[in-house]
Amino acid sequence: MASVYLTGVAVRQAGLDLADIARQEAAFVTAEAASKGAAVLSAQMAKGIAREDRAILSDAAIYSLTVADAACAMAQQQLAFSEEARALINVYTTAETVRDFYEILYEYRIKRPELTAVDVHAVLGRVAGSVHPLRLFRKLPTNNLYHIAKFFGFIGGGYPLRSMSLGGLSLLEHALFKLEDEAQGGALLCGVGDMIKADNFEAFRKMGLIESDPHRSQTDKVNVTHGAVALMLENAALLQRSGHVALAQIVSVHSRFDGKIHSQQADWEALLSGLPAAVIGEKPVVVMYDNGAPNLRQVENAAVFKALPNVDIRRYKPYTGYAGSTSGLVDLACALADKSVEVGRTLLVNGMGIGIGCACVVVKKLQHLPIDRPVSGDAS
Amino acid sequence: MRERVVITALGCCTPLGNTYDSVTAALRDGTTGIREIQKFDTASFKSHFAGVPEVGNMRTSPLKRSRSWDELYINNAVKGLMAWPGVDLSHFSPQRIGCFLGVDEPVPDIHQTVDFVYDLQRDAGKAFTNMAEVMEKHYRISDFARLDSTQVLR
Repeated sequence: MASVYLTGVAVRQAGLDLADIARQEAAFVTAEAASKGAAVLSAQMAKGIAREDRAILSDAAIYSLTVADAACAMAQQQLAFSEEARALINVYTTAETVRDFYEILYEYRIKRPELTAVDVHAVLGRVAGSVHPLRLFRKLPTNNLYHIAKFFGFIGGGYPLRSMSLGGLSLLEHALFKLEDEAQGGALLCGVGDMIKADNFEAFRKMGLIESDPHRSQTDKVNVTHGAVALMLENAALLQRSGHVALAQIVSVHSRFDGKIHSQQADWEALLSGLPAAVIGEKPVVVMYDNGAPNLRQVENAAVFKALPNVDIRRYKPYTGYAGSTSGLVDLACALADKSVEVGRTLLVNGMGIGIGCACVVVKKLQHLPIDRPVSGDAS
Repeated sequence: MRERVVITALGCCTPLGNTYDSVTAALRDGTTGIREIQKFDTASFKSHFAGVPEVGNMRTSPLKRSRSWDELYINNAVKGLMAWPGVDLSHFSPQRIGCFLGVDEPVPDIHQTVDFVYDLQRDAGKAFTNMAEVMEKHYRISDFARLDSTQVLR
């Protein structure tokens, strides 16, 4: 079984500046800060993408390429991956649904004002015929993965995963499983989330998953935002060959599926009580999932205090905001950047996804995360 | 080297049939799974035929349907799997059995979306101004739950 190391991290999430997290000077994410940031591909990256591929770039793909590039740059500061090593690198991405058909239909309605809704019901074939095929390519769950694999030449394997807010930690779980069994291998993980997009926000609000009472305190509500995060992983054999600097060791990932909308205290307890005694004995730092929803916090708190009475606790969502699929990986990046979490500490990063269950990643912090670029209120 | 993995049972819901025997028989006999689409009005489409499972090829209102098409297909496949001779999972702890679900892109019902769009209003900056109110009117919580592809795992 090979050890797996983290060699590059990049976060671009609106309202979050990892430099502030590192200094413990981060402010709460405001709605105004979370609304900033547009998907803009750098001119330098655009040059390396063929015209036909640029035509099928979605906003999520642009965010993915941007953070993937920054995570790769961090890993390759001393030495670039050889072409042979690139061929051993897998790509795992979250799959964010691009729900924009209502926009297509709205355009159709504007162009044909003589048609009523009933008329359109009868001519759906004509509506479908009016959609440019490239627009459909942008909606594919494999879109982000395709662009990353092609741009960086990472052809070791991989797939998109849909695990809601557990998405980021699920990527880690799958990558770890693959890399532990490979003689030499690496993985680029990329999570993208957008909780401020109108349809996402309204759907979650209607389901009661986002607290919308503006009078609640900032730490007692879900502060939605958007952004992306990327991690570069290398197993011991690849790391030895690449000569890259290990920032952290991914020790293990523990997950527990449950079909309930939210994990309950018993689910968290069952997950955490299954952690190895050696890990619990190290007085780890627990990075809570706590996305701000009071009911979710209550059950996670109760389980952690019961199953892990001797731990230090960190909560980063009030400062990072909640962007869905980026959750666990952004929390991990914060704990690595946070100078109040000492090098050498064991981290337990908690995660949860609606209808998926909960998970906990065990990580050994080997370095404080170098801040690749301060990002203030901008996801791009 | 990891332990060898073998397939011990199979369930399916396909245009060629919903059992191993019906699929193999259709393949052997050259019976096509392409059929005329009944589940929606194809008059304005170029093609009126598709590879659609027979069990899902009927026209129903989304308001009256208790399951999405994805749920219907997967439930049929899982029923077939559990009915496979010799399949007995009762002596395994549920925590010992994993589930990988390959999913297509879950989409809202097209007719609901059309009605939704005809109530939407946009301002000069092309932002929708009444999204929350119109979403409230046209979609139920269960409609959103259906967009969650993991729904079938429950």
